[in-house]
Amino acid sequence: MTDEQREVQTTLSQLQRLLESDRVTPPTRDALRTRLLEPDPHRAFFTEPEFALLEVVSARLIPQAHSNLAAQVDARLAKGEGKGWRFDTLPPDGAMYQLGLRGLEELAQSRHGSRFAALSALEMDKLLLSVQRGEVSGGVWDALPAARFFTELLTELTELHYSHPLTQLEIGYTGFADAHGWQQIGLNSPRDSELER
Amino acid sequence: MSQSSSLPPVDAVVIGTGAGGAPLLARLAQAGLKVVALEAGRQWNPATDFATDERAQAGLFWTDERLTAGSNPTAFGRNNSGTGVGGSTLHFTAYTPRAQPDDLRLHSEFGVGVDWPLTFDDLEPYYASLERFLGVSGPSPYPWGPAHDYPLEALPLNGAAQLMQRGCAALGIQTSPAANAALSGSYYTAGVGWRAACTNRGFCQAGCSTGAKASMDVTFIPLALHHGAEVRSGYFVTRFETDPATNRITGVVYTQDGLEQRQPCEHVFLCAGAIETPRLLLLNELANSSGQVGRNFMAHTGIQVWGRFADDVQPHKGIPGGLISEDTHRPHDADFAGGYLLQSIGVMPVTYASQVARGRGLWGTALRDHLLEYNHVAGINILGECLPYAGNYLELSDELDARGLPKPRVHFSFGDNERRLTAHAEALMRQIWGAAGATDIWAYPRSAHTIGTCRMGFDREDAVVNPDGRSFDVPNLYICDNSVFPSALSVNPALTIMALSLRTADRFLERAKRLES
Ligand SMILES: Cc1cc2nc3c(=O)[nH]c(=O)nc-3n(C[C@H](O)[C@H](O)[C@H](O)COP(=O)(O)OP(=O)(O)OC[C@H]3O[C@@H](n4cnc5c(N)ncnc54)[C@H](O)[C@@H]3O)c2cc1C
Ligand code: SF4
Repeated sequence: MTDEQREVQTTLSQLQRLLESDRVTPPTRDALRTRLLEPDPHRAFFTEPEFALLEVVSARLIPQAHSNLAAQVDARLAKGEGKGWRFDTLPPDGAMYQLGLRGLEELAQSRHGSRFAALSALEMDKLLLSVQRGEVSGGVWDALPAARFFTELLTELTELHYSHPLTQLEIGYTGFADAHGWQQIGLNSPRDSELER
Repeated sequence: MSQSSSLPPVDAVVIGTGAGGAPLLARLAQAGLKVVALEAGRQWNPATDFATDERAQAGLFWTDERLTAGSNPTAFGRNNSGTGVGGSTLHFTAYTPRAQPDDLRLHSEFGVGVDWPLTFDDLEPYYASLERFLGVSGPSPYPWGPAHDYPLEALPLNGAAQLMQRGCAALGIQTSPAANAALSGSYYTAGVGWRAACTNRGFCQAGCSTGAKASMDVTFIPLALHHGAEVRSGYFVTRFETDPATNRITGVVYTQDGLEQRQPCEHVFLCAGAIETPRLLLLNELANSSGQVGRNFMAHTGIQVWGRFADDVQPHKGIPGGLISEDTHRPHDADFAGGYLLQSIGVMPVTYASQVARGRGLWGTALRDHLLEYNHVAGINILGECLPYAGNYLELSDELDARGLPKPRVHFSFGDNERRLTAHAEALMRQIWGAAGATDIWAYPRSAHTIGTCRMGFDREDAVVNPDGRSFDVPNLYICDNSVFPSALSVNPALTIMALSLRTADRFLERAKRLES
């Protein structure tokens, strides 16, 4: 086991202890257990190459994810769920992501003569940065606002990642263990020792 | 879709059970009317349904897709639109300041926007009775505007509130614990019963599982049921049937589980919020002889300023709506009309991470490193005036949603006034956070609330409803929600929506009595 794996193991056992305790309300326990234990959903929306590319991009934007973020995006799109709004200048989420992914392949081809997934990490990041800055044109990018696409994708992946209870523990958040409420809420108030490792 | 069937008639149908619908539902039932509320969303049981988890709570938000356009497109969903019995109050922060008298006279004072067709004195008694009924916690006396007390002591301050206190004190800006409709002690109200005190869970924006927060589902809805009202949840209203001879609505058509039903009624109170209300009217080509339905869309200027502190903040603890300052209600050095208030913000992790992605564009290790400091971040935001402009409006697009209805498209761009106000506020909040010891200070520009798409006024030429909330065109249609606001107000809207709701019910009942005698 690497140090990193060992750390995840420790966090995981801390989390499981917390989830079993009476500090977590039953509906909260259900929600977090499901997220922790449920297998990643099967691909249902994207094509296989699109999905593979989304996984590669996702790993650049959110390294060290605790679950397959691309699979969760795919599942959402397959169910036709959304966040309740969309920029008028963007196509519906599914079509937007598909277009953007195609645009990334186009860029990899035109700049490096290679598939995106075959680029070095540095090359990938440079390409992604130019999309984020809207400094791309031609092909797909003449129709799709690059910066907006990038922000939508980044925001969705970020929300998925920080919804994961392991990620939450890593950033020191134990707010879900609130069945007893909080007594000490001011600045620099002592941490509840039961919630610490 | 199956054939529509019809039900026995009722005195009034209330569409939507949020801040606009629930109070009048209770008042009409109390007066002995047979009333039915139709609510598109679910009836929740907070104790058993509400998880302390942002993603699990996504069901509280209105997720039928809306198109957002303009140069400052406003976000919907989690940003401003709820659904369920209780409407957006299910996830509101429960800041409940009163409007100040001059808020209602923007045009008289500055020559821009419009005045309200009613005065502070019309609202004041409703504010007072609402604060008692909801159990608002706050300072007594409240330091800004006409003096008044609150029935419950102010709630304890969390880290973000204390930091804002620290920064403002250094700059000579007065602050105070906010008026917040969460209970600082257990509280009894007739017709509702006992509600327990807030346990500082800090999860108000994703649903309060203890009932301490005065969302409509634990206050006016139980009161309405107590007085015999009926609430049908999961019922989506699509159409109105009218009598062409009298221009009156004769029935409300809704769908439930794909089944179409018709509810015949004497009166309709449309309280579906400032997006769905004008959308329904436009879909039905109703109540729009003024051409103002969907016009004058406003959203509060709501820029947030975040910073990182050496202190341990734990920003998810305590009510997120903790500290307020109204010193900026009419800033002496303003180069804009109106003003704003300052509020501290607590924040849950996914909301914060999402804003960092959207606002800072951080990814990879930069994002990870930033979020590792989650327990050390705190924010302040403003709620500021927003003027109505001809270019800011709601229309029906030609894209259809899953129900087969046109999606609404909302155009929104800041004007000079909003830009100047925002610049003033951002500079001040950066100073406050600097004085409080923050590093890595950053601003997240945004707009909050949906306001003004069925404006209230004296004149049928440029308003949709009269000062009583009654449609100029359809004699038995009343509108009451955030859409009737003629101006945005420099305070959070919910308490004023509820005050208008009770007032609309009273005016309706008085008129009915007059017509009878
Ligand atoms: C995160 C957040 C924090 C907030 N914090 C505060 C705060 O601190 N203080 C404050 O004053 N305000 C706050 N607000 C705003 C406040 O919640 C709203 O202004 C207020 O609830 C609006 O009331 P309304 O009656 O206009 O609409 P809503 O409360 O949204 O109610 C409308 C209801 O109508 C229903 N409906 C819509 N269409 C149909 C249809 N066709 N058929 C049947 N039913 C339908 C909806 O499901 C909904 O339940 C906040 C909002 C959010 C999102
Ligand atoms: S902080 Fe208080 S009011 Fe808010 S959700 Fe928690 S218990 Fe409810």
